[in-house]
Amino acid sequence: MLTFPDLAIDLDVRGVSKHYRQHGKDFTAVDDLSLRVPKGAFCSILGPSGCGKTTLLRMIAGFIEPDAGEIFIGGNSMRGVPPNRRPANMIFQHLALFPMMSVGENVAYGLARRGIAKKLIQHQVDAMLERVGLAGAAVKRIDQLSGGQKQRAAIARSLVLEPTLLLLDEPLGALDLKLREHMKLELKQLQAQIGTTFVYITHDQSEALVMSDFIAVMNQGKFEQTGTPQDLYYRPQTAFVAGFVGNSNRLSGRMGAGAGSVAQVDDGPALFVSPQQAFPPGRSLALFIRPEAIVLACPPAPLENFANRLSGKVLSLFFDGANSTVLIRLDDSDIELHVALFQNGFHADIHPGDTVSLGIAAEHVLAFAV
Amino acid sequence: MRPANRLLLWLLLAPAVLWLGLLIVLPHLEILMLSLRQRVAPHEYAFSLQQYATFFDEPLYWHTFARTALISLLATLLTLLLAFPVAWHIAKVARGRSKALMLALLLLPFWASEMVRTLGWVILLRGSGVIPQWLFHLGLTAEPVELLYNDASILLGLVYSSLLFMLIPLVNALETLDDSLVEAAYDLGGSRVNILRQIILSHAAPGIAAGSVMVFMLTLGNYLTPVLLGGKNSMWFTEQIYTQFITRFNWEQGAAFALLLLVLSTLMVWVGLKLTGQGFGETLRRT
Amino acid sequence: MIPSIPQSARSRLLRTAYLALFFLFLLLPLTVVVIFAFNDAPYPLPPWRGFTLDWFFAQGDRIGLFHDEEMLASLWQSTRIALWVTALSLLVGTCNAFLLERCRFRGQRLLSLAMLLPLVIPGVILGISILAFMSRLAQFADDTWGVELEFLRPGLPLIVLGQFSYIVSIATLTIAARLKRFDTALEEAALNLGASRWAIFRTIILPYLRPALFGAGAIAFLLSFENFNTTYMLTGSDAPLTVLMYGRMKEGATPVLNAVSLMLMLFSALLAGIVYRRKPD
Repeated sequence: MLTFPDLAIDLDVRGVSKHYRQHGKDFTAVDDLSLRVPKGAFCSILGPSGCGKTTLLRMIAGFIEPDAGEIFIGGNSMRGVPPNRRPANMIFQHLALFPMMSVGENVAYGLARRGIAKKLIQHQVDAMLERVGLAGAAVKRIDQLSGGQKQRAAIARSLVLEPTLLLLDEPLGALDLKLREHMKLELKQLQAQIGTTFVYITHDQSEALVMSDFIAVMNQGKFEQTGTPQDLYYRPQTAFVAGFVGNSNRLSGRMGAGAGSVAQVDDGPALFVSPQQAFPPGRSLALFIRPEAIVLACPPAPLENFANRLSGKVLSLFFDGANSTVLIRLDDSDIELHVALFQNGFHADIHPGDTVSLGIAAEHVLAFAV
Repeated sequence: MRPANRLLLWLLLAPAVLWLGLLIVLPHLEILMLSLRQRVAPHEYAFSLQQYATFFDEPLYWHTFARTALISLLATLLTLLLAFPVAWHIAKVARGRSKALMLALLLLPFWASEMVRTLGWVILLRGSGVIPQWLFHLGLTAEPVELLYNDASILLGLVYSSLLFMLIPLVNALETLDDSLVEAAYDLGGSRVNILRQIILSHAAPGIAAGSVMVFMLTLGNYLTPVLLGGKNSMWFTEQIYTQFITRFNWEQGAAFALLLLVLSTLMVWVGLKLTGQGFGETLRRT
Repeated sequence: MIPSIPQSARSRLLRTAYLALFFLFLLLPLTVVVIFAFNDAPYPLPPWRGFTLDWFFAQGDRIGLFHDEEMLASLWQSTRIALWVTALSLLVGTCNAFLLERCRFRGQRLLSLAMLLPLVIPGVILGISILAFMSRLAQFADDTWGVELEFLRPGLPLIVLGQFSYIVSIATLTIAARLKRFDTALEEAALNLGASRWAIFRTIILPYLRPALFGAGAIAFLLSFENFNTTYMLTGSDAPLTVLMYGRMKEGATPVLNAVSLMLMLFSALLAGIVYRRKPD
């Protein structure tokens, strides 16, 4: 767990659990979780669907009562505080903008519930809409807005209440790919600009990596690892994180008997693995190698600097601009590896059937006990 | 459940219970009791099946009953046959403005009251009315013929009154049929008859069931149309019920008739839904 | 067949002809009703004797609609009944919709089916069963306490109850169907923005239900206005419009009936127009 000694903590989740009964079986959606989010941070909770992240978010918002544990927002316990009294506002998955109201009325809704004078509301709404780039859109109907504008309207509706915490429930999920890429950057910039603490849940690792200050990876009701995007990407601590964050070649194998960290890949070569963890000989392992960590030499050439030197044959080429990869089958085995192609023109003439040499540094072969 | 929620539940439940209890359940128990008693002396009653015996002994009564059921069935069938092509056209062929216009035209007669529609048919069909006069002037008949007060005029009026209740569920059912299913069947070599039977009718079955059940019930319980278009010869069962209640003031007999009609109606609805494998609730919600 | 499947010219022609005949059949009765409202003859029958507005405005030998006291009284009676039925149906229908869509309790499925029952009971039977039951209640009150409960005898209150007993089913279906489609995320969003339960009902749910309430209200009003089967059994001395028209038709119709029919159609069309114009939201 990360600690933030000199920052105020806006969200403090302490040992929270939630169980459900489903089809007569007990099911733990959230299992004794703790999380601390400092003021002004962009925190993402990343996990596959069904991992319990939505339950956690809804407990923070107050729609679900936890079975155990306690949640503090801005230093105050939220026990027994109904959702309409919590200083946390939520951006819903499908935004939940009120279709029967104009954009302005939507943004004014929370202020009006506080009984603030109409004139003052008007002023605040206009200022907030301008801030999110929707100046002059107050009189528009919701269905007149584009997907991105709806996002901003929903954010404005929550931010105008100046919440301690903004909760975001995969709000980009419904957008098409291009707009999603754009909104990622926009959301990140907006958060940096206004400084409100964001808690963002998503199953999309790219969203989490791009936007977050730190990420909690969640699986089966527990956090697998909490850390900065770089931590998660370069130094995953569990097989789940290594597999879930970023792309990897996953191989299964066994710890070798000899000295040094050598793993024997099932039906494949022996590989020097990252020495950060020691395993007893014979231990089953999951090995992860990122496609961009594999260096390709074509035509075959010695790769002296690499602990692992392999050769193989190109099976197919997946051209995708900067994300191009080749699929290579290692000689004398059925092992297939995805290898990134760097677009420096060096590998422009690679073709299926070519024989190539591969080099992988030992620290790029991550091993986890399974 | 929190106490506040409990209170709210009871508050919401109260009107429903009052409505169903006081206006539906108890009144029907009342006519059940009425139908099973006989006056033995002023203000003295005894249990009796006399009312039901009378029904079976008196040919007029059960003839009327059977006739009402048969004509209602016939009317339902005719309505379905007449409405189906129109429903198909509206659901699948017509687009945009012409579709909206057709739907509006369909609704028009039904936004007008049944009384108005029946008045129209009386004006059209009477011996001195529009159609007999035309036929006479065109030389098709030697003298103006009376087209009103026969079974055909009753049937005509019933079918006319029922069309909307058949069309709406049919249109709704056909609109949900994906055009590409028909195209695929055609592409795979299906004949028109086969496509109609295997693709269209099987898809529209819930709509057909809903429409037919609705039409049958409404026809069976209709009073105005048979009486005004059938005149003295209408022999419609609801008329018997009214006669017993209002003219003869024989409530016991009227209650027995009412129950018999209710049983017939319920039975036919049940059979209709069973035959097409439909649930009661979902069928009614369709219409 | 659908347009994308080839079809011979003959079958296209046949279908067009069928549709034309069908709509002719549909509109013919209404057309003659309208035409003969303006015929200068004592009966709404051919031949055409010239155009007149007597059946609307005359006040002498012929009595036009607007001077026909009995007819105007029945129109007013029908209006009062329809207003009551509409108000009651909307109120109870909304309660029922919340009961069916928002509450969970034992017997709920059964109750939701029971709420549909009035739709499958012939109107005649609804009328006489309510008449019989209410008469028994009135008799009971008279025998036991010696009080005469006038409202349990045929008259406006009984007509209202009789019509309400099945119209509320339709109102319930309409309102519940819309409430079912309500996205509860909107409610959560409002709660999240600080709204109280009552504020959510007032600012989110009610505006959302408004089209259904308008639709159900219009339908309730029209169904009440044109109901005959149930009403006939429960009518006391003040006949509503349909009962009066029925009596007049049996005596022999005069074009005043056509005139009032025309007014009814215009009114219905107006109401329908309002409802359909509101549809988009």
